[in-house]
Amino acid sequence: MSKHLRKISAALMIAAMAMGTPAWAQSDTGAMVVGLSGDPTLINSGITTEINSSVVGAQIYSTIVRLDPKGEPAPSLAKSWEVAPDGLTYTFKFFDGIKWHDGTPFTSKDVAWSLLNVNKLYNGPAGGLLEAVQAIETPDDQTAVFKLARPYPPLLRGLAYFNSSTILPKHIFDNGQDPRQNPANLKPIGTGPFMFKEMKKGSHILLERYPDYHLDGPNVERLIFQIIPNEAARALALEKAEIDFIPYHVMPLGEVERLQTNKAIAVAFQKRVIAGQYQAFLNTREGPLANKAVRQALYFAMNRSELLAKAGFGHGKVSDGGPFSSELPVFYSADVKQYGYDPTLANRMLDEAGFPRDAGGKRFSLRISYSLSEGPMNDVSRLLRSQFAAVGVELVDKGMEASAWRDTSFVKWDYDITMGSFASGPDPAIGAEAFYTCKRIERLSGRNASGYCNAEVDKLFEAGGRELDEGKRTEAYRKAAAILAEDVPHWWLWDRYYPIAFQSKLEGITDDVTGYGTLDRVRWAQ
Amino acid sequence: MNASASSITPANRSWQRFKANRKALFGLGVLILFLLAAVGAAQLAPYDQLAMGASFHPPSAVHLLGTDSLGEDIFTNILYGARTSLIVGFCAVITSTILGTLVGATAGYFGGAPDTVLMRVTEMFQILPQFFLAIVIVALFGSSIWNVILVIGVLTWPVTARLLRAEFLTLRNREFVDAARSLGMSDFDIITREILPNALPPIIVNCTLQISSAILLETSLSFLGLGDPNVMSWGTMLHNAQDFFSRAWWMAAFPGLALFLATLSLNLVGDGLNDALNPKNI
Repeated sequence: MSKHLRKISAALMIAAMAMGTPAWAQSDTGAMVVGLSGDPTLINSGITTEINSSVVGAQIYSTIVRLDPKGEPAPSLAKSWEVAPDGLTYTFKFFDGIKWHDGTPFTSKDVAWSLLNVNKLYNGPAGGLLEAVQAIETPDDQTAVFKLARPYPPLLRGLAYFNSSTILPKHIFDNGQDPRQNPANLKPIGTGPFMFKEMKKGSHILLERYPDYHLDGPNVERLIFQIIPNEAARALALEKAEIDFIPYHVMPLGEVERLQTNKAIAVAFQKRVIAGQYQAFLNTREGPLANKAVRQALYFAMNRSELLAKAGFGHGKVSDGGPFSSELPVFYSADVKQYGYDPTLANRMLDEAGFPRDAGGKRFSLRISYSLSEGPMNDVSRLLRSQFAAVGVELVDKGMEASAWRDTSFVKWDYDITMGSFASGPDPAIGAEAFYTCKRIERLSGRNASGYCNAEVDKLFEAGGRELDEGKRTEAYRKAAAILAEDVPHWWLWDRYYPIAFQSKLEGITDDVTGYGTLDRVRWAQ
Repeated sequence: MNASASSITPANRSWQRFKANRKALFGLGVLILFLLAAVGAAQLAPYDQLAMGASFHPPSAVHLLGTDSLGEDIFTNILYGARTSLIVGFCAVITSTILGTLVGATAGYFGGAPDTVLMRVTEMFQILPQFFLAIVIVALFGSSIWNVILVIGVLTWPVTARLLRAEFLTLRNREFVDAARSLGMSDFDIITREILPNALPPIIVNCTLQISSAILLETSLSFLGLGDPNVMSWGTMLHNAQDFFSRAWWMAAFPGLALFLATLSLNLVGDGLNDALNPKNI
């Protein structure tokens, strides 16, 4: 009996995976369907940095400014702004007549309350971004004045990111309770182009056009997020026009080549100024990796071209700028110590560092942790196991579920090597700084979990974050990059390119440079 | 005793019957091949377990069954996978048989209160949804191969226990047991020396079938990505293949075929043993 039941439930699961052609699919130009790999745990990027939440939330909520296709700040909630010459005061003027989806008028108090009482407290990147902000004054409903303790040039662009700077409604979240428990996290009310309609776990999220949206658009009546966990099935759904767009973070990399041959589908590379890198944090506190020579030797033992080609399907560039991705404008420079593939040198360095091979040819063994839901990491781990075996280092695979991975690596620091995708941008003061400075050795996700601490690096990051002159900033960051590339607290694997795929009749998708921007300008070609 | 008399011992008679069953012989043959592959994986494999070649190489003379997305040789992985599958199958079944025998023999022989208590416990284990429980336990306690074995062993013993209890219930009142008892044999001796040997045939058959379901369970866990990442398994190979069905059919086809052959052969051997050991089928 139980055997039959098992067979039936397996069959049902397969059927459920194969099924899922809802009524709205099939080239309905009034609708647009976006494929996702799983449900967002909540739709509130003021609290979580989960990309699924930002991708959905960006359609419902708004930010103060947005980025135009060139990456320059453009009006969103704010119609204009002014930065004082000393860099200490930012004054934003908001559009008149903006209303939340429940009819309540939007005011500058929403901005001030949300950023300081939710985002800054519960969202990691926002905490760093708003650190210099001492107060946000609201002289009238249409004006907000940011007072800074010290100049912080990255602020303006940082406010364009949904992943940190989503503006939440004060009248819903300011109820004296923990915003993380607010029911609006699953029934969001925003000021964005689409209104939340329904969410069915494991199936879809349905949004409808907000007629009173204060900017142009949106150009489709309904926006649907369709959950398709299986990578191959997601690509197939796009080919069958059941979905219209696969965002960068859920793009099945192995399918890109095949999709490129399909004329009905456009494959583009998402411009992403956050400049993500696949990188491995090394626990520099204990074991062989506490030794700089070992970290360098194993970096030499790594065939990163093979990792990129086989695990990343070639969508990227082997990192050669140390902590800064080559996608990071201005600050990136390849003028740092380089680590080409050289197992002979690696073997010699390991011998000299005092880790000889034992009778079985083995020197020592290390644990390698990663999240199983992070695309290519499982393959990277398998490849590294093979590459490191050649220099006598055994890797023990500790792939685990995403939240367990965050907890063991970033809170418990119970790892030797832990890897994933991390942002070096959009500005080093927001991205890279969190990984390498002493004061960021905090038990929080995305902070300095490797325990690396170098006073000189701290000084350079400090200078780079304060300096207003771009030439001097660049110089400080490049010096820091050179020291980091020498000390290797991380192994920077490859700089990510982000393929996305969509129906070629959809216009305007590539205008977004954040990867999770508002889709209000996207339209079907006539 | 003369030669002709020794040739008709029960074991010998069973072998004669087993030999006459061609399907069972085929199953045994395939099973022996898998055993050889598992034992000699390191010697038989054309490539090192950690060697990486060109990705997506189709089956050819260089790579007999092709290579996977990372360039690992599929044939090599299948050999090492056979080792994992058989280790899991045998160890899990040994675990479950020991547990099941202890519980079943105690319950069946003593009856009364111990029987009631043990059987309620057994039923409790039987109503648990095995596969989902296995998923939860492996997710909680890690997926090392020994954890997987333990989970499968602990989840599958009730069948053995019930089977053995039923055998004991019919055997404990037979004349030869009464005779042993009146000769003053201890309970332990009666259980182990008199009843157990006579209750073995159905247990042996059950074991063979359970090995194949243990292998399937381990494969299912690995297919869902919950297997031990540090050993190669057919389930892991299928898991890795699922994103490339349209691109590299050999990544899924060959581990699937190996799994099919292994479970089929175990089932054929099990059926053959059942016929051979069952005295009613003469």
